[in-house]
Amino acid sequence: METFGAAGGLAHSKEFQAVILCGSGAKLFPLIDDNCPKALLPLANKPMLFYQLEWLETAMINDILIVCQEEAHKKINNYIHNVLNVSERYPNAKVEVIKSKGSGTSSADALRLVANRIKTDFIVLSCDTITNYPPNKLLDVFRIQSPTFTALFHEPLKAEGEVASSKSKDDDLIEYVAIDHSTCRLLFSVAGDEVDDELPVRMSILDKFPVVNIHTKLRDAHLYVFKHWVIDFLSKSKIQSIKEELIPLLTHFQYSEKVLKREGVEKYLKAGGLSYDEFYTSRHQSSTGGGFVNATYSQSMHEHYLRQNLHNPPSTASSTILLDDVEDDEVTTDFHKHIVCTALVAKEGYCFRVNSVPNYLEGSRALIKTITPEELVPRSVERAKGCQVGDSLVGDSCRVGEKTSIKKSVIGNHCVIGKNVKIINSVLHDHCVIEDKAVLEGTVVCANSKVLEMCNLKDCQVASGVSIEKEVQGKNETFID
Amino acid sequence: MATKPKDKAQAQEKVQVDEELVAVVVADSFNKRFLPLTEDKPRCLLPLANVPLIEYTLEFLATAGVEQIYVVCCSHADQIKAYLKSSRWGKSTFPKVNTFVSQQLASTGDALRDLDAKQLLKSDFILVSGDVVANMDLTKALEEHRARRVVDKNAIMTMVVKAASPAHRTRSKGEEGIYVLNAATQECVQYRSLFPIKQKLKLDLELFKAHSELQVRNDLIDCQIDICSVDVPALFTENFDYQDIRKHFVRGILESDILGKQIHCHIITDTYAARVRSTQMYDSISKDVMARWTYPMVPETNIMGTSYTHHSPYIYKDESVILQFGTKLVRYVVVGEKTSIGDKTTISESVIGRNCRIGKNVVINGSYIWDNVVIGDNCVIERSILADGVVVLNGVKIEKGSILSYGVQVGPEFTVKEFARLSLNKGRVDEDSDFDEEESDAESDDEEYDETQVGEDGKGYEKKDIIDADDDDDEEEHKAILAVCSIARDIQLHDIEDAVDEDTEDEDDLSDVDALERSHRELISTIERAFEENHSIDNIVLELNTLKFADNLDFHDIRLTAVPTVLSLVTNAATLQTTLKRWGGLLARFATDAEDQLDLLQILEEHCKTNDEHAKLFVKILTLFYNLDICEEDAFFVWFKKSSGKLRDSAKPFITWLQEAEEESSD
Repeated sequence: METFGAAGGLAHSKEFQAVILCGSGAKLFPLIDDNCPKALLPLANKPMLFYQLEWLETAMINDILIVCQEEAHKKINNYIHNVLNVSERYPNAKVEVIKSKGSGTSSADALRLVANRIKTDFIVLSCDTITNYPPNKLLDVFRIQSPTFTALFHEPLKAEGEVASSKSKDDDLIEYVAIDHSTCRLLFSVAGDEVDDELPVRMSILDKFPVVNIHTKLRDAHLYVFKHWVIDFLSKSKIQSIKEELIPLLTHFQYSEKVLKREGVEKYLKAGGLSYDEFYTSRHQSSTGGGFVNATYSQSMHEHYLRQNLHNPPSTASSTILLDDVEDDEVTTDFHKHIVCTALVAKEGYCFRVNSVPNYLEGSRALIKTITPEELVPRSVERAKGCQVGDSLVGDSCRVGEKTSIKKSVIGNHCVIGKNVKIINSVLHDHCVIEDKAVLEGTVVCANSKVLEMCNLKDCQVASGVSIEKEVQGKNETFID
Repeated sequence: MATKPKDKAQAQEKVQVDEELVAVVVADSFNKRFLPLTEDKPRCLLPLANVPLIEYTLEFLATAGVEQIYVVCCSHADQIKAYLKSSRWGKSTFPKVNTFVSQQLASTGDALRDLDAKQLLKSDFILVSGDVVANMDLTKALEEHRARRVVDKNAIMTMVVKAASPAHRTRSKGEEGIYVLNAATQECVQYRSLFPIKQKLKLDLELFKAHSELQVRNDLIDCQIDICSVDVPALFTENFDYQDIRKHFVRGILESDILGKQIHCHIITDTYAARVRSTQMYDSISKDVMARWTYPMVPETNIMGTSYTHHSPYIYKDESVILQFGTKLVRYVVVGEKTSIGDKTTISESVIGRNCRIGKNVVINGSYIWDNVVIGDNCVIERSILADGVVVLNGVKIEKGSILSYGVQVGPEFTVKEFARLSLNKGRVDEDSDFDEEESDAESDDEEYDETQVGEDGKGYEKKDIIDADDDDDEEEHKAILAVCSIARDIQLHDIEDAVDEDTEDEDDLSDVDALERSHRELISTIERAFEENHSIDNIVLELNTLKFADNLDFHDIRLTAVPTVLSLVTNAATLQTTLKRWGGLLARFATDAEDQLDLLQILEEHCKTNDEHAKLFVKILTLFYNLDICEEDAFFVWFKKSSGKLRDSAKPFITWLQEAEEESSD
């Protein structure tokens, strides 16, 4: 990275850098283990990291930093440089894998780790964000409006089969996201547990943005484009979570000058090359006379905020700030002109996050639909008579036995599937063996595992290297060593 | 003009539906905003760009292919009937215009109940008021409405609304509403009037359970065109307290859990529709007509058999108009038949009626001059309405926002103060709708006119009691309410700037602060005046509420002012008791619930911290607050718990006593 930009070439710009954050993926247990970190979890037979790199390539982003945990570093590095062979595949790109220290690293900590390497506006995405949303749409909003950040939201995948849907519901709490679609402005987003019976909407918002759509079904895709100064701000703050703290805070900056001031954002803005003087003087004038009611307010809020931030777990800290301000901060209701938050909703292509097992299954199915029929079942697959393969992706060199039926499923490479097997809505990783008359539904079988004859597994997860005995009946179960 | 449906789609639609398209025109406004103009004439016959308002409404309905139009008249019913009979609608069979006279109607609700009782409406109908100006195509709205009805009979009404910016001039000030719609289906799930102003709109989370994406819209102009099913009049009959179709009916339906009825919105973006709700709207819509937004309903269409021609820039002149060489028509001007205008006279953004005589060196700007008006030389008329037969003598200046009713005479060399409303009728008006008073005494010549109101040779009285006739003549109160909807009122309710333009927002802040201080001073002076003149508590409360309403304050602001002002009368322990006995009720009226009372106590504490004299009396004040029932026990306890410092400690014995007293009483 020392030669940053030198090899960038003319075709690819140095406009943005990208940071891929590889989390631990606790919710994907037991699909991931030491051999298979989250970033390398196969999704439609390709590691998840592949999709982010592909998306960034489409976006013509070359300077990519991957931050992962220490344990996963070796695997990911190996994948990038030896398996994927980045230098050949994306000759313009410079990809570097960086290990974070300690296991409990938060998303903001991970960003802080690479703060000194970020020299431009930057894209942050999670390794579980899978999308083919046209990158230029997102980047153009950022280029045109020059906002503080642009976030991507998506609608949850429509679950197929009732079981999957009932599981995906408790997946995330409801979130109220207010967007003005004509200007792409993200006006607020409030988590369901922060409001009781009523959702308050400031009239001042409605005056500035007369048409506000409030969504309840949208999910944050964890794909953001940030202004460069945000990394400076972040590296000096105690923020832990990007999604739960940084984004709400920045969104709130839009209409609360007080919060903006006490956070000392001006100096970052100034460093970011904005006409600070003009900005500051105008704001200053307007606020001098404002003390009629709330003169002592700002100070106490500041202390309150500090207290919260020091002693509370990160997620609650942010929510408290936000709500308190919404409740009490009556005087400053103007929208700040230098803090602009924008959001897009991915309505074309696919966009989802693989952050839980049900989402993993649904995501796999969503990807199958994007693959052409010829590629779904390669020639190297041995298909016995009378076997049916429909809406499914089958990996290289698999063997499928007689009268076996595979529907809406992903089969990894080199799997062996016996006779009279039924596989529906399931995912098999590489080198699995499924013996005769087994039935798998909504089930994930990880690499090198065996499911013996007559097993019937519904909505189960089988960790890698596990062998399931004959005639085991399983429902909603997890099989590990 | 078009009395036959030209629209083929409309014809096909009719075949499919096989229902007669019916419209109900409510030809009464049920309010007093146009007083004194509506004393002698109903609002729907007032001229807009020299054409009676109802013409626009009927023309719009005829173009939409309506076959039966029922005009419901209340006040001045004879005039409306006579007008319709003599006009082209009298003989028209398609659409057929029927008039119904129902005396004693006080609201749109009454009108619908009346229709329900008569059982005239058998199918879906279009409900409009008699003062709607529109060129929109109703076909699509009707189709949508019918399609919804096929699927769900509970979709009882479709409101037509127009998208604009929040500060659009054609949005009726003070009557703007916020619509919360289901983004996908356009079902209206919540409707709230912007008035009285609140800081926040509160959305019930239950709404989100039924609708995953809601759209909150603050940019819609209510055109007062509703497509209703027959259930609507029936619902009005069931709920006899529904008066206004928006405030009561729509809210009632949306908030009701039992009815399960739905109301949808049809949003128009590129066509025009608006209702003349107030003089401010009259001004805006007149300008819209002149700016041709309402095409084909523009002056040179000559629907009244006139001979207007259109000249750039937006000047409409009848052939028979006589101008002098030096007459200057700037832009947005309509001049009616046989009107003559003198030399060196400048007219801009105004409508001049028929048979007017306007003298030399006159400046008319933003004004509406109706028929047979005589204006002398060297006059200045600024953003006012001059009704039929007004005589303005030489050298008169009419300041903005004035309304001169029929036959009023002013001058010479006189200034009509801004927002004056002059009329020949002296009488007080105390009915609730357009006025039907047969005043015979008005024209008698021997009456005395007040020279300070109309000038030396003037005829007419100033009307001061237009809005609220029952209470005392409080200037502030008038202004507060009139401010909202009068012609030429330039106030911005929210200091709204251009929707996205954030560069100007800093000035807002300054003016906000100024406004806050100003209203603070005003509050103090109001209370002090009340002390001097020994008003009743009720009256002060009324006045303060008006100020609150006008200046967008909340009760906290009032308490913040009222506490120190009331206590300023207190100099020692002796005066304390008498003062609080006399005026304590004022504080109580602004602190009705526990939260407010807590706030009151906190304000009191803050105040006493800054005032040594009162600090000494603090406990006594608390005791009196309790004895006079200004605050309840609980408020004291909560305050005591939350507060700290010397004053709190000094109140400890009192609180202990209070606790004991309570325990005793509960034993």
